[in-house]
Amino acid sequence: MENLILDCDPGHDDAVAILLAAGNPQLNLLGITTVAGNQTLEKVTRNALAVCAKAGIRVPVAAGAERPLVREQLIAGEIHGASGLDGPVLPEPAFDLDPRPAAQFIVDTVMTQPAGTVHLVPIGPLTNIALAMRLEPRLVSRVKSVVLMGGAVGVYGRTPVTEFNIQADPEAAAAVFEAGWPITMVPLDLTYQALATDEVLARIGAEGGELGTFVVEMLTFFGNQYRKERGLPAAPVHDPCAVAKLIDPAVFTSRPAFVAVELTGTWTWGQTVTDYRGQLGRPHNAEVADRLDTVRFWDLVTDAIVHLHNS
Amino acid sequence: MPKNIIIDTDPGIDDALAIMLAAASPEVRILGMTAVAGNTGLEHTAPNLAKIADLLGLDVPLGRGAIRPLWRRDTVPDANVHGADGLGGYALPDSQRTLEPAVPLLARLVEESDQPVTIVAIGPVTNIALFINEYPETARKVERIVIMGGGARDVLGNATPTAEFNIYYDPDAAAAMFDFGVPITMIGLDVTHKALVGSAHLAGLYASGGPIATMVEAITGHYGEAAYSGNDLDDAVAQHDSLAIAAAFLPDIVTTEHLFVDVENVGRLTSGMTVVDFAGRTGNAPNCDVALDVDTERFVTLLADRLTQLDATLKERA
Repeated sequence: MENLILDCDPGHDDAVAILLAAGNPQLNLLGITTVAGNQTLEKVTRNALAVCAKAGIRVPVAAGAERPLVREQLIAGEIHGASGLDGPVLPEPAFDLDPRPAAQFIVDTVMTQPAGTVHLVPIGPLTNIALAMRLEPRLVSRVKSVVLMGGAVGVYGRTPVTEFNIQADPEAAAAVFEAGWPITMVPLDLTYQALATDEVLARIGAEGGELGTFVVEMLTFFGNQYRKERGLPAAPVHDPCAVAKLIDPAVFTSRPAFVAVELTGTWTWGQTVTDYRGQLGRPHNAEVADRLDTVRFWDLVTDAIVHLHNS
Repeated sequence: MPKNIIIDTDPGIDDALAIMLAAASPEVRILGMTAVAGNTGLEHTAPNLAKIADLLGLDVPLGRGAIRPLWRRDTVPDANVHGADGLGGYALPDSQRTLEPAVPLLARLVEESDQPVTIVAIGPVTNIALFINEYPETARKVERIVIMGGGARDVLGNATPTAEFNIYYDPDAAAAMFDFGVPITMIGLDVTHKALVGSAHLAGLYASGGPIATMVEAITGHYGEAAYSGNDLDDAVAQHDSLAIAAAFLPDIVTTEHLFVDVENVGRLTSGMTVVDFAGRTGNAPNCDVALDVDTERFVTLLADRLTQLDATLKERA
């Protein structure tokens, strides 16, 4: 059993990540924290509560940073719609937010659990994680690992060289990569392999009951946006790839690298500079995911949805 | 009719082979050659250029160009790749030639040419940026600039994780060149890493035993120790610059895509990166034919055959 805190900005793929984290019996989801990213904090927080209500998930949800540390806020409305989770009808929240700010919730949770037993899985901008690190410096050595969805090595997102989560708060990301804890970076190169094809959606719809239908509605909207905005054949469902790593380390392969976040370029600010070959002379600080076992991945996602539907 | 070209270069081991390839190819007429600092300092690249021209019997004007990048003072050559003298210690006889200032020479050669000129820039493009700035009207008459530089995908950098040396060394010059408007063909590192040439390919040349054979065998041996090779089991190394020369007269030896390219020149970690806008995210109009693949076999055969022919010709002449 692996303990995790999911730090997210739902977001369609974030919603699937919540379902995977809550619906897989090998994972113990200690809480969900939200951060401004795909949409404003208010919207993504409401969406997180709506997904919990829809799936019957009861874990603490704490709202976090309303904007990046330094930069002006970016949102991804062109991909996730005006609500941040356009597509299905969203239910009303079934419970209240945890009163603590997300960074405090992360600190409290990690510090009260035994050392080395909690994974952080940030799948939005890294603002909350950076704030938590500064709030409690011992967090870095106490966390078991950080598995983050973000960055790009050879395929790119909103610009020719950057990915949204990192570019949305590059200073926070730079702090996270420099901290010295075990990091697995799940970049676009990996998540572009996690395509929600028609076959994937048909299976989720057939096996997942009412919750499966909700997921299909979500990912159908998401797929249409990606076809329209990015010219992809189907939606890459980025965020659950990071969660899946904690269930089955073999779900993707990875290579060690030194990763640093560019903060100053005209074109490249927010780029994850990934040095596999030691050209910068710095020790490796991350495992960079590169090849996804897509069959295994979609089995895990589908099983989690079925599990939540049945329970 | 052969294509008129000017070679701007920083010899440089792979530069030497590239100049030999051009000299050996009837498809091109070399109007002149200009030296720039890059693989090593100008105090070596300029004399090296003259010595190579002497060796090849190339009676064309030679230019001595920029001694430093436009603005950068923090980029330096890696002496491990080409040696401090630029030719891995290979001694050629001193040249008696006088080199002219490179930038006015570029302008004169372009103006006096009876047909449009292609500039093949196989070092940092400092001379090109100065030429564009000082003689913009003349520079607009250039038909195309073919550069060895940058990277498009997979392999972006050899100087840093994201920057190829020629662009890294003078990114401001490269940014000015990409912005200028003359058509550009970019032969980047990811493609030249497929242009691997080893002693097995050059057996015919080495058997010929003339001055080209002797020099190529000596300098590629040195280069091989520090240069990129595709396979530890053989001694094949990337002949970056020769591929740019080949692409200048055999454009279909590479497959290209017409894309917008700019150079990152202010990033702390990414300075010198060629930003290639594959998906049109920037909304800028394409300005560059970016090489994405190469017909390796055709290239290797071309280089080996031409150098072997050149060796035979020079042996006869001697």
